[in-house]
Amino acid sequence: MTARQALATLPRFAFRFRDGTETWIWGTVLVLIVAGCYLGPFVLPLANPEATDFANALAPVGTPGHWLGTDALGRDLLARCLYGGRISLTVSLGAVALGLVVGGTLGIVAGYRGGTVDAVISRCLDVLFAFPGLVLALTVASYLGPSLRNVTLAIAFYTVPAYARMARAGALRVREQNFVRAAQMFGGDGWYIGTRHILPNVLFLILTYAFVLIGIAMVIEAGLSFLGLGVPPPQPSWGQLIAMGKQDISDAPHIALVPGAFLFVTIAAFNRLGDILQARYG
Amino acid sequence: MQADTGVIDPLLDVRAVTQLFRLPSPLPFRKPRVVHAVSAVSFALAPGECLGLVGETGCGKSTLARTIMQVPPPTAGDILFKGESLVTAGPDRRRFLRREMQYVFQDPFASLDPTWRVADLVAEPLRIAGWDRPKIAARVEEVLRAVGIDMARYGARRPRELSGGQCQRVAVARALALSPRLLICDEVVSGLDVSIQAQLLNLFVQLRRTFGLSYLFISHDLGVVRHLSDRVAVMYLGKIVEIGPSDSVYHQPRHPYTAALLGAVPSISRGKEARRRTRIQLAGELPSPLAPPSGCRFRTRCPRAEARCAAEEPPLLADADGHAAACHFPLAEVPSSTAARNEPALSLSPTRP
Amino acid sequence: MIAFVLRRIVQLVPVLLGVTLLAFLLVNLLPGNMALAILGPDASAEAIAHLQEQLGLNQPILLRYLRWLVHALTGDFGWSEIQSQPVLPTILQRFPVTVEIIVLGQLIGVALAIPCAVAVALRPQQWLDRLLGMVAYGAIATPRFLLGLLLILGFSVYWQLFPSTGFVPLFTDAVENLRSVALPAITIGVLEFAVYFRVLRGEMLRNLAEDFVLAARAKGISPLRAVLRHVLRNSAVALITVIGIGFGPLVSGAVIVESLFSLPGAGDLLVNSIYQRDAVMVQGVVVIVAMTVVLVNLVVDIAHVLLDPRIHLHDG
Ligand SMILES: Nc1ncnc2c1ncn2[C@@H]1O[C@H](COP(=O)(O)OP(=O)(O)OP(=O)(O)O)[C@@H](O)[C@H]1O
Ligand SMILES: [Mg+2]
Repeated sequence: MTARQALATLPRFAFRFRDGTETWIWGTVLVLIVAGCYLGPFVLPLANPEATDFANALAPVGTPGHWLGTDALGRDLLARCLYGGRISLTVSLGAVALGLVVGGTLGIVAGYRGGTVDAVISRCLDVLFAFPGLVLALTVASYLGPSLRNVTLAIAFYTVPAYARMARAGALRVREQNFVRAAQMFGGDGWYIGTRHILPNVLFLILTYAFVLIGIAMVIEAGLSFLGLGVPPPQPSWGQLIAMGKQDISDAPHIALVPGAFLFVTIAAFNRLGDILQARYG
Repeated sequence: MQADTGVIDPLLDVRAVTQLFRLPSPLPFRKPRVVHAVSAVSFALAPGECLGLVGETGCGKSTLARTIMQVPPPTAGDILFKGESLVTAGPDRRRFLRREMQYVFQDPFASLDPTWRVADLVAEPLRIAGWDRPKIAARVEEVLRAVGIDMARYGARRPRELSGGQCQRVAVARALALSPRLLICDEVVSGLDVSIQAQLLNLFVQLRRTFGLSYLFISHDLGVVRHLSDRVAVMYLGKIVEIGPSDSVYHQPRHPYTAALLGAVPSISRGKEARRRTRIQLAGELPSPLAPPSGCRFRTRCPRAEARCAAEEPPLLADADGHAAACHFPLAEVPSSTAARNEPALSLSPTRP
Repeated sequence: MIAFVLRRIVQLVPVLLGVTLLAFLLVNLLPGNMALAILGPDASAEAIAHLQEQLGLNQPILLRYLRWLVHALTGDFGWSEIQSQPVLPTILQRFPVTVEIIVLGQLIGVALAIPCAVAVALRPQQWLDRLLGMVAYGAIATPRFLLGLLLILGFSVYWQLFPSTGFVPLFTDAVENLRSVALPAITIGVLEFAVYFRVLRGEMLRNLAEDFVLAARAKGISPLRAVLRHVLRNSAVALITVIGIGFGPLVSGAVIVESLFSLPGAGDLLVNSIYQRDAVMVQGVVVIVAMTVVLVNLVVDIAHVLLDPRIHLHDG
């Protein structure tokens, strides 16, 4: 690859949506879900997600007033899914943001500094990577105790090393570029080069990776919740809603499948958008 | 080995500089393998002088130049700028000294951060040197004009929106921003169209006149070097094998390697085709810098090599007019200069002695 | 080659040490008092203090780690007070179930992915390619427990083909055993299929464009044979790498699947030990799982080097 071609593949910061019908569709879906979860409770005439209504228990999808049905206690599934999505999204976005900041910094430092610093950081990452994401999150979550913050931290044990590895690879590539050497010759120090040259050149890579990681973080969060180690009630996340619906799976499968659909569509949207961005600009 | 560089009161004094690169060893607990990229190179550069540095690809020209800039600092040896050592200077002092010596990279695209704009790229050395904003803006415009780039038109562009020649001009403008006394130019015209090469070379001539610059001008193209240089140094496998006044080196090469290089010297007008011929002439395997030959490093490809060449490293001995060659059996004082130009003086192929 | 393997093994030592240290610290540093867990919430303060003394929990953490490590190196992972069982034999007894569903899942994945990828590589961008691409996408976006629930809904509630819970050991009744692990294995296999398929497809299309395949095609070899003979072999290297990278996530999946289908595997043991605050057991499972992941990756790395004709090891 010539330098020119290599440069042509480097980040472009303007998002172009040419022939991006698919991008628009997934983007809209995602915005609707995220807005629904965070704003819905204030804007929509939602039922109280914890209010039981035994007269309308086990209402199927499409029931007027309970458009997505109710569970065995007659609680409105739409309301529960929107409130629950807030937990799922907050935890996943939080864990990925933590990963981006902490892991990104670690990765850039390791990649740019090299030598002993890199060796130490890399070995630590290898150690973290030896633990399957869910197993690590389970262990951390169980011993930190269940709370929004702790579950986020537990998932960050996966996102931080994932991000660090990504950023390190990027920094390693950028550091060998002559513009970094040029900056060194002008007398730029490590902080200057890290923030002015390495970071801008790996930023795009890091940001698109967030989409992919959010999908993974949501799967881990849902898994934790499903196993009963997620954020504790009374704020059931999608994973917990699915777990609760499991008992009634033969009589009223929609109790599990409605939150399941929310989870699926959200993860699919994040994955797809991440792939599109990476394919187009990565 | 400390060669007498013969330059009184030099601007740049390179003393026995060595640069080794350690490669990770394939086995744990084994000695790492070492690339001998530059080995005990000494030379000096007078103020206002232009020294050409030529040699095959991979012989260590860029590494030597970068080592002079302390990126990375040398493994051994010393580099003096205006009589002051860069190697032993503290970081602040080194930064200060280095402002007066600037480096222009081999690949113009790669030396400009693709996420930056032209104006910021040119301002970068000034910012790092701590200039204040209004002064920076004025200076950026000034140096861009000096290299023939219109600030209003190109200032907001990114490198990818420029042509190769324009990129190189921006890189030169960056190097000029801090009013250096020494410019190290690493193959600044290779990879560009011939017409643009000529334009840039003229720019360098003109800059030298306007700013009184000294050059270390690196190229594998002897024609380009000759065009500019007062003196020429020839490098082979990490060592300088011959150095001297341009005329003397070009007309009366002493080292068999120089003679071979000259045997196929292209004139600049013959361009690409001629350069390909250079490659063919030197096609005999370049030994690995991981394990350079003992004694004279050129002996494995040298038709005049004898037992002594393997045993003893030839010193770089200068004559009265400062022409030095590191060879036990240098070529005769008066070779036919016309023959040297048109035909290979020596064949480098090991199979045809 | 031997040098490469040796180097990889030497590199593993600090990682394995780190793995044990991290597992130990996670389980022992963080809140969640082991003595309290063993004695129950009603225990008196003296009893807790006494038990802590007895279990050596009052000693410096590093000392406890070193003692644990020395024991672990001799194969003694401790004694679970809560289960009244030694740790290692308990784990080893649970392991075969986990291995069975993982291996079956991978087999399903490979068995589906190869023919699909071959078919698609022969006629890229056709309807089959699009369809399989979407299926793979959907599978990747579906958490395993959700897929498992769907399978239960379809195959055990609706058609009543397979049981939704319970496990019959292989040596008790092989057929019943297969029936009992069918849904878990499919749950794992579908996602594996999706991942393998996407990688194989990309790799095969890339290989198809390579010179030697074009040359073979020019000589009159049919596209199918060209794919089978040249492309598939080269693409297998990528498949092996993916199987290696995917092993960690696969173990995560096994934990979920065992819990969902109530299979007595190592993942189920982990989850139950966590519920019961059985720190010694959690630590043992986590360490063994992580070591398995590390070793699988080592084997994959070596296989990769052995199989890939493009990698030469002369200089490391
Ligand atoms: N960072 C490094 N690590 C290891 N080896 C290196 C490094 N930099 C350069 N080398 C080696 O040092 C030798 C000299 O390289 P250098 O780039 O200085 O050659 P050059 O004369 O500039 O060649 P060219 O004409 O192609 O630019 C080469 O063998 C190269 O592989
Ligand atoms: Mg070079």
